[in-house]
Amino acid sequence: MIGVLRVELTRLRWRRAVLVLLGACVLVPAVIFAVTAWNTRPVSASELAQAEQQVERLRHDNGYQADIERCQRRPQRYGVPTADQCESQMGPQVEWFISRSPLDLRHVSRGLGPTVCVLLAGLLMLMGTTFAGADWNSGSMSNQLLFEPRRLRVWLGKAGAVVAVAVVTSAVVLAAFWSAVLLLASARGIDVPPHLTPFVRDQSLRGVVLAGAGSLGAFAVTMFFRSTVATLGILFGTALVGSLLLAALGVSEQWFPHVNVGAWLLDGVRYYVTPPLSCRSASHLTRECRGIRFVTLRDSAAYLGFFLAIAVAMSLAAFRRRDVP
Amino acid sequence: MTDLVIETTGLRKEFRDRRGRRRVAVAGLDLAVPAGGVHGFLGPNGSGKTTTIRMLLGLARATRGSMRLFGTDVPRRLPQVIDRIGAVVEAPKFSPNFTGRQNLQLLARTLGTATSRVDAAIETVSLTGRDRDRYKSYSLGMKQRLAIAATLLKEPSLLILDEPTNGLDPAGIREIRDTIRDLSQSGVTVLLSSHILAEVQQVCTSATIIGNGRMLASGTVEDLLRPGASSLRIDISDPDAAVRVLTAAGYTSSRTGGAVEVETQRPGSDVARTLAEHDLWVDSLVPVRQDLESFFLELTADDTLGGGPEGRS
Repeated sequence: MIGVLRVELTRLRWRRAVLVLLGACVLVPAVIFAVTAWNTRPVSASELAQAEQQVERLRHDNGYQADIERCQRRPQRYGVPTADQCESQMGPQVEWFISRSPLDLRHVSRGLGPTVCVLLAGLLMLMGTTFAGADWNSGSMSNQLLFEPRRLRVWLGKAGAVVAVAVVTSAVVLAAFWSAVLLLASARGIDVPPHLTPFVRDQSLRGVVLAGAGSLGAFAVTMFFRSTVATLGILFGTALVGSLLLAALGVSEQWFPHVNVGAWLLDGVRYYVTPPLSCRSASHLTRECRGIRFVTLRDSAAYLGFFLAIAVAMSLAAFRRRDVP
Repeated sequence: MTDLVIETTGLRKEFRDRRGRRRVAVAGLDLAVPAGGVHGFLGPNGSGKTTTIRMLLGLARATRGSMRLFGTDVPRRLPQVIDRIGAVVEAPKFSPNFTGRQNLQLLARTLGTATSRVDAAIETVSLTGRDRDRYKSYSLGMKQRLAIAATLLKEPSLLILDEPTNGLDPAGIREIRDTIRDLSQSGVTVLLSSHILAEVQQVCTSATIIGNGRMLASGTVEDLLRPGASSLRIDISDPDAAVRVLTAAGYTSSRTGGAVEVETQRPGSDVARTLAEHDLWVDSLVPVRQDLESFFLELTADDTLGGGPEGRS
């Protein structure tokens, strides 16, 4: 079994498409980090001076002066308590001309972090698909089986190689991404909230599991359909129109794929439903009457695990029983 | 009793087409391939040769029947004997973006054999110098040679070759035939599936002819041809008179062009004497040996006209 796994790891390593996708796994988070770092960079002295100049210019603007005079005559009309506060409250502020926000670790952990996890999972799913699909497209699967006819071993060897590469890649990339983010925060003197580190650690671990399971699922589906195109159709169909279709059919949001992926990465998410009719007469708005529902981590694990188990079982059964072209 | 390296009994394979109708590819085939020599597996296109080979190698599941390789039940115990079997099924199938060497290395690692055997196999099939080129850049002949090199990684006792000369130029065909002969002489049993009769006749010591998924004839190539080795072609100045005389003497004869063809089990000297007694002198008398082609066409006439095994049960 180890021998088959080694062979499949070598085969995986030699595939150009796989190498390109692994390169993308490094490049995409690196670009996200670089863009985030650039967009949250501290305001420079020259930018500050420029903003102050713009404030000064505006203060000397005739229209502005007329506004201030009108405010001082009737401050209440402008929502200002007293006339002497008009200039301070209505006057232009330096912040108006500096639109950049500083690095917000909470935003990164709840927005960019999961995005990176999902992108990694998507790329590694493509890796699983292209790896299995290449064997079927070239017809080399039959040749491989002439050397190792134990199909279960072959399936497990290939799946093991895909999952191992997906897990290692996502673990390394996520660790590098978060190390870079935390280093950047430290360099900018931004305090890391105490709860953030365990949250990020758990989220990254779940991201690694998602990448491994996703690549396994994509591999299994490709081994079932024996076609990269069919698998890509299913993946993109699920990603792009799966939730829309379910919504059109009136299916509750808790069954939407993206909601469950979000719940897995964010340790549960809330979604909203139309409150029941009985809530109309309720004097106190309970959570139920506010239409708030939750998909918990456990719910999402069951949901995603169910589909993965189905894909793996069908793929294994088909590969063991069906004729190989 | 001769040792059999391949044995099938009542082997049957059914497919379902897209409309769910049953198609029979192999209909109760009994195949017996003795150890040693080159055994031809002959049949028209669609007669079930490749399907039979694929079932033997575990690539397709038999609907019914039993199969044994080296006396071992397959596919159940195929892993026990697979190391002794080299096979090229239909067109060679390798990863197109890997080099020939990489493809062989992966297969060698699957077997757990030394990489040095890859070098030896490449050298045996004369691919040295092109082994580091991508497989997709290979000519058909090179692909076939690489496929044979892959079979040599195992040092097989049985080599199964399915249409190995398909698409090759004359030089490539000769090369493959020489390789087959060399392997056979070194003790490897070769099962050569082909629809090219001349190839089987030239290379094989024994053959099985199938049609519509059934065995039609089996034996040594010499035995298969014997029934037809009984006609004589006679060149004579008056062929019409010769036909009259021979018919009167109880022979089955006919005029073919300027000659006379006689079907008989008796020696040619008897025929010449009969004609001489009527003052008809033979210019030449040649035994016409039926070739495998005419024998094959005779056997498979129904199959080729009948349009294959579809729909039979």
